[in-house]
Amino acid sequence: MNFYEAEIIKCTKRIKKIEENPDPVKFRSNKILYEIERDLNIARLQAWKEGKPFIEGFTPPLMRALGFEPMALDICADRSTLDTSRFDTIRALGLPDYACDRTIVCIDMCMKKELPPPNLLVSHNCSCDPVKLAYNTMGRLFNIPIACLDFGLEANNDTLQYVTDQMGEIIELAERKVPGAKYDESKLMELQAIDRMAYGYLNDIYQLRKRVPCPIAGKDAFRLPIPPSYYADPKKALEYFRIWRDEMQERADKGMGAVKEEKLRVLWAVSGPFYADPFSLLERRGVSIPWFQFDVAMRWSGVKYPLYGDETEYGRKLSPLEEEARIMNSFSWGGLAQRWIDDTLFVCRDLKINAIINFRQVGCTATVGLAKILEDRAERELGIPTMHFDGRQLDHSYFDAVQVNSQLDIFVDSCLHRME
Amino acid sequence: MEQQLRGLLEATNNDNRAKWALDWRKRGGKVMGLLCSYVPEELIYAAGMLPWHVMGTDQSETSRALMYRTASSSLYCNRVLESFLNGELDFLDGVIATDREQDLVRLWDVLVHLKKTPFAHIMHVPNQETALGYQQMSKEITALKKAIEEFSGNRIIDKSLQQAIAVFNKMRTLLIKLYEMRKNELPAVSGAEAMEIVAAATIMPKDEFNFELDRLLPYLEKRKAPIKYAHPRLLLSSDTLYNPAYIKLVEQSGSLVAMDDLDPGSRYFWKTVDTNSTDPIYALAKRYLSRPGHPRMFAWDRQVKQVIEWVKEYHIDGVLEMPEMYSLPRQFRVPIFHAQLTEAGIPNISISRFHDMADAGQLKTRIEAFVEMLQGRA
Repeated sequence: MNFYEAEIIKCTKRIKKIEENPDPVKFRSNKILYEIERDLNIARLQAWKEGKPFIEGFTPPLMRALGFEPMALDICADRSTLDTSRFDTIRALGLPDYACDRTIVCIDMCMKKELPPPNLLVSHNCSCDPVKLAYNTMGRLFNIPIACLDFGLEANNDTLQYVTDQMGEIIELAERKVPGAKYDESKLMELQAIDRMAYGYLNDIYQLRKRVPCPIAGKDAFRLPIPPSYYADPKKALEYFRIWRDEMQERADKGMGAVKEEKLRVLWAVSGPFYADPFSLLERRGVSIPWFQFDVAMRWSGVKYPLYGDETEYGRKLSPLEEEARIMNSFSWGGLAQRWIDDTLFVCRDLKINAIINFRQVGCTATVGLAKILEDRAERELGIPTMHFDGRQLDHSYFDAVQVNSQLDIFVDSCLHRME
Repeated sequence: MEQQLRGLLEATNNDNRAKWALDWRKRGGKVMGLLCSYVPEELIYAAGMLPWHVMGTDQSETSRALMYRTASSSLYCNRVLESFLNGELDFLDGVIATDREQDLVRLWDVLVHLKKTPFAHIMHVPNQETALGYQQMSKEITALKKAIEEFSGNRIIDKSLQQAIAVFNKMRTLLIKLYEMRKNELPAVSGAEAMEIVAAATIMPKDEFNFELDRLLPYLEKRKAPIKYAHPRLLLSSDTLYNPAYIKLVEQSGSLVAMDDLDPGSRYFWKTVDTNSTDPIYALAKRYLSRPGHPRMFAWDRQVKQVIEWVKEYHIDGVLEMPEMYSLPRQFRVPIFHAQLTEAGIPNISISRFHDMADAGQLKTRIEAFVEMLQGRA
């Protein structure tokens, strides 16, 4: 069974479960989320069968506007079945098994034909080295066209122009090399308009996270909100965001929180173990997790600057292609320490966070080396403590639940003690 | 002359490494620590400062660095941070890094966080050798020039930059002459010696280095390297391999390292800067981006092609790749490097290494097995 088939079954089961036995604690909008996920995988399966082109490495609206099916290899890897033999494949190829899990697991998935090999790969460094390098490797392993999309260390007008120019060249390459690829700017603008509305809802949700008690549960905060243009039916996906926002509003208005008596507000950073649930333990201790801080989290929620249509950050109106370049050019992990740490501390202030749990993902070249700087600055500038939690997203052999729970317990105790 | 040669060969020994930098400072000059061979040193030289490549501590212990970094991140960066934290590099006036690897960017972030040097600059090196890449590299070099001018108080005029380019080109030409001698059946220098000479070039004032090597070349023409084995001839490919003990280990395992693809090796000096260009900044951008590439660069196929050309020119029997543990660019390139060399009919092997020879026993066994395989083919 390939990945898409497995996902269709998984989503169908979850929809059925919600229909038969709805959990009042969980969001009703989850059902729509599973429906759009199921439909996305049906569409992908169909596209694979029909030989339609797949792409990885651009933003979802741009991938769709070029007539490609977006792959989202990292997200597929995040949802893959836990199987340590995947790391055996990586080792057998001579690749580093200590690189970030999601960037190497997707190679195994393509090799085992759980995913189609992409028809075009855009190897970029907007977030991190492992993504760039994994795509470089994959493109050559599968002998498919690859393009380099290069990002500088600063997000400014100069680098924006540089990225936009490269995107233009890659579009030409795609049209030349991949049958069926054709750039449609009106399609891009149509998708941007839909995504812009979704980002507006995400900003509403962000504002609601400020409430005490925080109306969002840790597990929901930890979820990556994916823009509607990624889905097969962007309008239905947009509807999901609207309903999710409305439910959050309802909960906030009723004073409902994930924890009854909120004693501590924690920001969870970088990533986490996808096979474990550290959030329940925290919530049982009266700890809410209003925010999961990762690479694009703030941008998608319009914190500091809204995405699309903003004329303040670069001081001018941007073209549709520049809007896409802007998103990738300002990924929080791709720049210098200041970008990631300033962003993280900004959210901590804004959401009245009392402590940070920083997941040190093995092989994450973007964030592991910043852990101590984050800790130092959070303590110095905000007076809040940071706990570093070493682990892997997908390699569960690395995880010791007893040890992690005990670490979290001790950290919560010390934070509460500090607040007394 | 052998005594003069020893001076170069021992230049990067722990006891000598800082010597030129300290002398430079005694004379009132500033010393700029470089963390990457993509930094266009000519600018620093043109501003009257000494460019000095940071190799990192030789000590195995990096506990201070591990407060900021993990053991499973770039070992080179860990060693460099340790040397900043243990005081070995207190004489540096500044540090310049690039984003050759993201790990290196994070090292620079820590140095800035800790305010380790009065001057710190980082430049982006485009990942691609295209017209857009060259333009962007030119902008990065211009930004570096401006930062250096502000710090040094010296304006870098075109004339001084062109003079600097001439000095660096001379160094490159001399080293290329030295490497020509490695093509001989009995070369002038061993693999370890070649690396030591190039490493010396990365820390010595260039005029002094040029003078020394220039007068040594006639002697080297006649010299026979003190090697135990002339065959099989290997090409060694790695990054930030500043510990010659690894090359000595390879050469004690029944082979000769007759050519290299190393930062303190061919990649440091290959290709000169175009002196006919009316825009020296653009000429620097072109040279640095199009020199034989580090695996961080997008064009892996071109990198392997370069190695294949060297294999032919230097009569190489096999390629030994020694990625440093936790250095991701090269580690990710391993299967591609292996497949393309194999397709070209070139025997090759990739064996990961550390820096401090802690893995020497295991390495020796694997290298000997590779060497035996090559001997069996001969």
